[in-house]
Amino acid sequence: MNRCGLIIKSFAAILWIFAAGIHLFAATLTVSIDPPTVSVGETAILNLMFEGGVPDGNVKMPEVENLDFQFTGQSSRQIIINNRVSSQYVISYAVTSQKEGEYTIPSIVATVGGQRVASQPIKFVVAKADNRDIERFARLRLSVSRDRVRIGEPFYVEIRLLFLAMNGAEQPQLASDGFTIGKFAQNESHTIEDGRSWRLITLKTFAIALKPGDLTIGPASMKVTIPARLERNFFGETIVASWRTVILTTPSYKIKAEPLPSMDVPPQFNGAIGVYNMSVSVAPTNIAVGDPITVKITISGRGPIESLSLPEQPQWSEFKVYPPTSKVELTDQFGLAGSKTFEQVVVAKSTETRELPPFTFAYFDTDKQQYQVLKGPTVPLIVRPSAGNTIIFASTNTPSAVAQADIVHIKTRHGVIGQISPPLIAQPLFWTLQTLPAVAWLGLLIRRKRLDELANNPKLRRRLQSEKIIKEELKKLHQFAQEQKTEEFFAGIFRILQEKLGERLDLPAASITESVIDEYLKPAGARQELIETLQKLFFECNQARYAGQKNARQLNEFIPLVQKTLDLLSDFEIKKG
Amino acid sequence: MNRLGLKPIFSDRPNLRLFFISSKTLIICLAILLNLLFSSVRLIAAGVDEEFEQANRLYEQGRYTESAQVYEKIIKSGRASAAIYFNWGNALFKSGKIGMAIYAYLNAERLAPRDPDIKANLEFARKAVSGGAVLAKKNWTDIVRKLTLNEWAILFAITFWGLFIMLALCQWNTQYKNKLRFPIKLNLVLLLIFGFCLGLNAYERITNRIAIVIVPEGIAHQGPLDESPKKFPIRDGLEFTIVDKKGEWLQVVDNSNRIGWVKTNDVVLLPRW
Repeated sequence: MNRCGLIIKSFAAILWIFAAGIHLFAATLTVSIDPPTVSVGETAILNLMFEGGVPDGNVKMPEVENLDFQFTGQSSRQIIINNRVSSQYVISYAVTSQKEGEYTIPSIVATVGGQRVASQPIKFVVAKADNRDIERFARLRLSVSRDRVRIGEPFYVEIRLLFLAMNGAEQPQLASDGFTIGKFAQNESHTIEDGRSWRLITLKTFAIALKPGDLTIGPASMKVTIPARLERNFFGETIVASWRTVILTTPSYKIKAEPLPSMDVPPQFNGAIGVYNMSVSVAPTNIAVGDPITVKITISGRGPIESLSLPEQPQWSEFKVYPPTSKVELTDQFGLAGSKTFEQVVVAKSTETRELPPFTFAYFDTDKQQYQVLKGPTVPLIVRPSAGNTIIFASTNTPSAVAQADIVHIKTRHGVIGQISPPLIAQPLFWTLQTLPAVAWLGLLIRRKRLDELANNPKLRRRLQSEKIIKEELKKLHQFAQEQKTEEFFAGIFRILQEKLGERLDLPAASITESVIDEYLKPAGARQELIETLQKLFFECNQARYAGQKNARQLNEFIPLVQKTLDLLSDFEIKKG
Repeated sequence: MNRLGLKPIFSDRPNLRLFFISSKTLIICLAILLNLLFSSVRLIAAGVDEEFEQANRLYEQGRYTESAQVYEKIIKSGRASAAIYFNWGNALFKSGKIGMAIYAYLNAERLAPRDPDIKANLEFARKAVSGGAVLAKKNWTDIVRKLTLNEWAILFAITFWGLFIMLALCQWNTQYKNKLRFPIKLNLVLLLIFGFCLGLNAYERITNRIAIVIVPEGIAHQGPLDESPKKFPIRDGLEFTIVDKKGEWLQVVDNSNRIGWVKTNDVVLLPRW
């Protein structure tokens, strides 16, 4: 019995150690919320703290009615407690609610290293917001330019945010079921309210009712960060101790949207609404059958200008009508004023045509609250027979057939086919080629500078000339030596010496003789070695006139001496006089 | 001859012989280049003729979808012309794909911006888009769009080369300085104009990205999420300017300044180049 009990105790001890070991390395998830109580629209931070590992994949937040969770960030840290290292991984969410109440955030489940972990449910209280407290720092207003509109009629909507201190704001949200809303344009200024100067951000746009009935626009809401607590600093100044994020809301507006009148609708009416003027010009008026006539129609005024389109013109049945092109010029940032110019090409079908019937455009006038029809002039035409073959148009008996012109037919020739490639400006070769003329110009510019330099420096020019002549003569020396032309060889050496000495002494080459050694070189302090080599060369040149022929080897032996003499002369600076 | 009785090494007079040789060489080189160019065009066009004729035949038979597929096949092979894009647009339009047709016409317009047929069909297709209107063009783009980006680039290159060749001639022989003074100034002005237009055209291409809706019906959302509230409906053929991109979502603005997020699968993007 004792032995059995011992085994059981030992087994239990092993199990406990094993369980403790598991517990030691098990991951945990703890959820906390700070602060646990907030006002409506305020934000609390919900922290999911994982110990012993990092969650696998994303953590799915539970759905809690009226609670909004926004991911704000994640962090990790290492903690040492009693020499035991543990890691913490924290995921944070901003929690807001627009409805007061006591909420329970249910258990959050995640997987850490393949192990399922779950948190305890947590309470979160949202108290009624104290608007007076919020309105001390920021106010939101919504206004509309009309409370009674026609369907399709644009009207302005303005959201005004007034604030004394603010640390960030998000784009406003505007409830606008049944309307289409334009893009907001922002403007900043100051205003006085309740005796205080407020900064004012005005966000203006337009709205168009899409359906009839009593519609509601708004409320507008905007998430802003305003001071939560103020305090005085050491100098007695009021500073913001902490901030809070709240959602400002405005009341909504009732808009009565009425359909356009169904009585007395002009046949040309195609949905244009606003207040418009029209001008029409036609050119040319003296044409041959088949020649195009351009009708230029400019419609200007207030309304959704860009969406205007030309109505069908049943009275133009004598003409082939092509699809118009249009150009818009806006004078209003929302596109609700300006002009739209259409260019409509029409072609007379026969010489019987005497005039272009007036163009008519109908719209619903929002000022007068009735339909208006604008009419262009009747334009007399002279239609001559076509010079070529008679053009036969398809019969268009019904007016609508004219307006329903088809697309231009396909092309029968494919034209010049090219590889689909980026344009030239995106190709490095294009820009590389552009450098060529610039480089050529630069090269010639350098050449021009060099020429100018030579023109202004005769000594340099003389030196370059003599170097060129000497180079040519040296080449000939080798040739004369090979051909054993002794006389020409030494005549060549003489010319080389004349050129070099002439250049160095700034004398004409032809005037150089052996006497320059005594006249110029010795007084100028020339080295003995230079004088001796020159004397030797001049002597050999004189001897060559009378002495016999020398063989190639003997002649070749002189060439290094000539080269050496030239080098010595190059190094020697002649001091004239 | 200079005062030393020697022929000057450097002369201000141009080497006329060199000029004559250069002219002849230039003419031969140009002839070879033109021949190569036409040969390459013929090579590129080879094989397209048959497919183009086949697509046209299908179109005439009213088999628009098949016709569009053949045109698309040509384009996907990397060869294209304004006429091919235009015919492709027509076939797509006739088969009810207005968004894709507008896409094809816009591509054709880029290659041949002065073609009245392309303009007419583009306008026609845009008019056919229910609830949509033509995207407002800025004023300056009307002038700049008269020529293609490549045409502006060639004009720029011609004036750039012309300017530097004239400047180089002036350096080659100073006698040209007086003669070329006015042409250089004129060329410089043209270079600035063409460079400006080229820059504007390229800027517009880079900044103004166009997306065209190609699904029959869709929704633009307030944010780049399926769960995001619906902003406004979109239809096949509507054109938008792209403002931002996030994952598989594009933030777009239409000509009424409505901003919304649409899925990339619902639209086709006009290529930047």
